[in-house]
Amino acid sequence: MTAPLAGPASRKERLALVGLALFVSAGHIAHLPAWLSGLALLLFIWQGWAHWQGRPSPPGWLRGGATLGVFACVFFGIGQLTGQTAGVALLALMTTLKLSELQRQRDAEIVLLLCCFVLATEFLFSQSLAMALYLVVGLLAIITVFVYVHTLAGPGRLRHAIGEATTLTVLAIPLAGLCFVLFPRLPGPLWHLGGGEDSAAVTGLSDRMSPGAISQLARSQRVALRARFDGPAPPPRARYWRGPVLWDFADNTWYNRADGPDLASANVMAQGPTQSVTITLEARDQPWLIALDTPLSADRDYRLGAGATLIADTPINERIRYRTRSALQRRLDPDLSRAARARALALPPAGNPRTRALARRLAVDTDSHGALADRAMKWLAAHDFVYTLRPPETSPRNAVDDFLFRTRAGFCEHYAGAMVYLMRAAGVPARVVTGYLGAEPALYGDYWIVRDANAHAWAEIWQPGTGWVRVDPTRAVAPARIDHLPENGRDSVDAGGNTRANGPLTGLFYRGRMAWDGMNAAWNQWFLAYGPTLQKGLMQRLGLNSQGAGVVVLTLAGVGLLALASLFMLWRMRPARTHDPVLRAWHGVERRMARTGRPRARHEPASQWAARLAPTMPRNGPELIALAADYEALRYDPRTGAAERRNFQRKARRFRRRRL
Amino acid sequence: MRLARRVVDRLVARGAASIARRAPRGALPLRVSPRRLYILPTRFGGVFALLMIGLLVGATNYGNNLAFALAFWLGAIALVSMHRAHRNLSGLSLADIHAEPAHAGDQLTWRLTWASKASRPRRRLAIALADARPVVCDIGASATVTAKQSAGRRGEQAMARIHIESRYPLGLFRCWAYLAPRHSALVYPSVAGTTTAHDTADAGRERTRPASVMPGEFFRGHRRYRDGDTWAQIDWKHSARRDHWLVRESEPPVTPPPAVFAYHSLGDRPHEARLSQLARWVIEAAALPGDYRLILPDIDIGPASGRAHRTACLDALARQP
Repeated sequence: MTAPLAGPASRKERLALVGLALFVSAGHIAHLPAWLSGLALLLFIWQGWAHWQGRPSPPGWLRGGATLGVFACVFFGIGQLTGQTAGVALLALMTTLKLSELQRQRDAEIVLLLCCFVLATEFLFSQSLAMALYLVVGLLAIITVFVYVHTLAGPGRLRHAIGEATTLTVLAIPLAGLCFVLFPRLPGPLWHLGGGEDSAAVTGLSDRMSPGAISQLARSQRVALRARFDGPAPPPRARYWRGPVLWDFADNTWYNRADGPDLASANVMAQGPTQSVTITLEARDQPWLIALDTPLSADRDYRLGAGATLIADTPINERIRYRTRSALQRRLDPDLSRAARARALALPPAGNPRTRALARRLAVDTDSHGALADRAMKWLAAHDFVYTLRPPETSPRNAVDDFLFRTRAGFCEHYAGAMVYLMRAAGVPARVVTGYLGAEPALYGDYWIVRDANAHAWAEIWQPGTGWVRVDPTRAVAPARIDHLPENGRDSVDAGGNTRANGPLTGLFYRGRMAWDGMNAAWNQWFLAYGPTLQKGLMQRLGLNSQGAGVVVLTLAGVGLLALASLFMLWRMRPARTHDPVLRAWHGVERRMARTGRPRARHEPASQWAARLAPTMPRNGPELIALAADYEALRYDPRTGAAERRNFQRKARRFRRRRL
Repeated sequence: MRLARRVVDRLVARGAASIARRAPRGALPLRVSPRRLYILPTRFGGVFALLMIGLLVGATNYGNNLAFALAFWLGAIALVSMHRAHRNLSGLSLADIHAEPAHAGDQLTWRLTWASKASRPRRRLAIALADARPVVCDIGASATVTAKQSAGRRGEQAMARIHIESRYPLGLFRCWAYLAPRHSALVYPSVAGTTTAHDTADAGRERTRPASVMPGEFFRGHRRYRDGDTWAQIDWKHSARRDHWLVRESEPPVTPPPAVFAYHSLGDRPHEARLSQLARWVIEAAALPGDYRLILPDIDIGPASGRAHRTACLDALARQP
């Protein structure tokens, strides 16, 4: 069975390539616009059909036109040709178009390389455990097709390709693992591709709280952070995770004015034992380093905001891990600056008249800010407020009035906002704090999970002497939301604050989810978090002091070993050295003559060669003839001895040094 | 500069000489030794390496550990594939060689029988002699492969060095070896000159032999059409040039006297042309019934017929000094 060396790709090979390209691009369907995915799918169907029917590749003008069309589609559909989404779309579509041109083996190889690249771009959008599985299967598929197109047709070809690909992939694991751990990692991006609108990070807590913002977040079961407590976990009532603090109110929205006065960093004084927490925070493209209320410090670059929130220098667009120290009992800003006080009391000049009236009523005969807050809490508890994720509409102009006196149904953001409004109207400095409340212990692994569903908002009021104090109006309305937090995690709290019943199915589901989370946590901790910092730590543990030096030493050692091995091979490749000293001396003479352009032909006996050349060398001709004669005598005459041999060697050496 | 070039030239020459010297040579069976295998990346392998570098830069830029994993894994697989390519060739042995005779200037066909102790088949090997077009095939426990080599001049021709190459399994590396078996084939003289000398006695007749003459029949000539002749006997081609029809006339098969092809009868031509002419006559005579005799300066063969006689004649022509 013979075949040309690089003939045209056969029908089966072409179909295998189409299938592979479809498989590695399939993951992009999730994050490309639907119409682009549809376009790609159409192209795939076209190519699959054409290769199935064994049609020749379309003419050049059609392929060129399709290429231009794809560029135009991406440009007009996405608005640009650069950036992550556009780049990935172009790559996937170009790979599909390349399938229409599979005449030669080289085309097949190009498609294979493109498939590797397409698979790599999938990881720009997600690096979850599921994607790791996709990587393994995708890699196996790619290598299988690699082998497939490099074998000859015959029975069992595909089975052999799969087997060989598996062998290759498995054998490569140790080396790949070593490279992964030891390859020098550089921190930070080398360049920026694409704008913020392309960012794959999902939104989380933001620095604006308009009605519905938190309740929308709370519908998601995505993990916001994972925490590991040093020592016992704090009691459920203390599991407040502090996020952004909002000072200003306008148009029904709590936010932080960009032109607001610069407030000094918060002054936190621990009043008891502190709690250390290691937090793995998911990427949310926000600068907040969420920490247990109230954070004192963290082990990465941060600044402490005026609201005692840890703020990173840049938005966090990758999963990060950090260690924080928090004080459960603390005094926060016992002395309030004038600017902060003014900001914590500011309200729009008009609006919500009934709320303002209520504030005046509550403020009568109260001697302290705390007592006033207590009265407000009691007022909320005494009226039939409903805690719900789907509050009815309120009028935009007097939203707080509507909420407190008409609808009386809302989520924590409504309660926190209304409480702060009420307090400010009564002359008490107050602010909104957003973050998370509660945590769920992981079943597999010593850590706690905080989900977006735990998103929460509460109020803080300022008291002379003690500073900022947490007031959580949600507790007055739905105590279950705070006091009966799902301690063992099996009950989930629905929007009404009622705990759901426990069924066997729920338990199974719960266990499955927890197992998945445990694997993800391990994945995040051991695989995804591996970067320059962890590598440095590993190098230090290996006894190589700095990462640079370690890499240099390893590299030099490796290169040195390889160089030694090559030198050894080169040495072994040297022409075999003749043991006969006479022959060696004669070879020297031959080399000398060859350098002057008079080499001995292979068939020529030594004396004949010398006789042929002697006439061309007036000065050294006789010498050469004599040498040749001596050489032949020494080689073939058994009567010659050591003295003649040494004499010949001397003469040969002299001859080689002459000018010829 | 000149010194550098001299050094590089010397190194390259030395490497080539070393490779040539180390090609397993001698009597069969010849084994592809694991230490005489050479590996270099193919162009595809080079592009693949560039892709790996691109992936690594991208992974570093995005701090993307899965992309790192993919890049390192692909790279490691490429390295492992190098060993698999090596394994695909190593240990294969050339068990037998058979040459089919050829004429000078034609293609020499070698039938190479390969054997392998390992149970795994050797996949997609490209086998070529010298710079001829390679033959691509799989080789199981035993396989015979036909390879061509251009037959040079008449006489004994040594087998060219065998180049056996594998790009299996991924096409990223080219792994090859040389085998130099001490083997030669006989190249007959090229076939040239005029046709059919042995019926020159029938002078005046047309020398060409129309293809329609049946084997065993001798073409005598044309005559005028007579009533009773069949249409099939009419030579239409020649009749077109006359105003009357011509009919082919043939003799009933008789045993012709043995043809004699003598070297000395071609006195005025150069040596090789004479040998080519004799080769042509021998081949044509062998295709016809009847004996023939070949007279060369040093040998006289025949008269006889049959395959063995033909081979003996051609061998004698090939071995002429």
